[in-house]
Amino acid sequence: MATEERTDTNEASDPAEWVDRHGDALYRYALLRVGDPATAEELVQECLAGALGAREQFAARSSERTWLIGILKRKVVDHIRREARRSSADEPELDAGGDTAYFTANGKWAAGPARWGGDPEALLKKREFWDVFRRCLGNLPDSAAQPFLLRELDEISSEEVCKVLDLSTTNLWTRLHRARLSLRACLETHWFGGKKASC
Amino acid sequence: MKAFLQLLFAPCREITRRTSLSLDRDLPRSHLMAIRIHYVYCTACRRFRRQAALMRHALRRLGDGTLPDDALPDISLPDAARDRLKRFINDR
Repeated sequence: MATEERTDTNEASDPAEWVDRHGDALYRYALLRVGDPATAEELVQECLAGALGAREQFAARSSERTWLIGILKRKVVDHIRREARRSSADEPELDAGGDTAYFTANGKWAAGPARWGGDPEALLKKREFWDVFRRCLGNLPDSAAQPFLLRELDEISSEEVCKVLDLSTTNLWTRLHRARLSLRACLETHWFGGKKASC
Repeated sequence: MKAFLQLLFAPCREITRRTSLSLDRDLPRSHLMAIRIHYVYCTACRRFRRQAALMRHALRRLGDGTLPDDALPDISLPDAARDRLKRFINDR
């Protein structure tokens, strides 16, 4: 990856250069999403095939990489849809809100969020932060991680997430909320630290 | 009005759920108003809202390909896969 040159121009390049220019970024995204190297490579190939067939749709409004990742995201969503159809195993039901661990019986924060200091933009440029972020995502139960990443990373609507995973909207919201609470707590423990707040 | 009053006196657990919900659907204006009033006096829920927004922002940045490579997990395309993909493009 270190050898890859960052190319973020708004001009379309020769497809023959796509793999060298964006291959690492596409593969990284795919691997983060599906976890399996062979599947990740397949998805990158599907993305490249899709991009070759849609070159005239590349508008210079976004960078070439953003455009390619946009196509990859749709391939990832299709893949997850197929996988969800295949696995008919029922997920264990979550408790009513998926949030009992974080609140007392009367609904107060058990340990309220601490202050997260620092400049967010600088934070996103730190590899150590992303390593922690990734580990925290890995700690999420699949039932929460999959809908959460479809929603926040692949950026599809709640309605579409429900269709892809065949979930009711209420069930989806519970899972998204659970993912946010869990990821938040994990990032706080392993990255931000700080004094907990209460109301 | 009833929903507004109920939410106005709701505990943090309920406010936090609504905060999360507001990221995934539009909430009625009365709910939003009650939640905002809660934020005024509740540091913890205010922080939750800000942190949930930051997590969303972080994932969107991760997903839009605009972060510098050296900030991201060190994952690169294996050489064999690189060759296969290049051949795939050249064959088209």
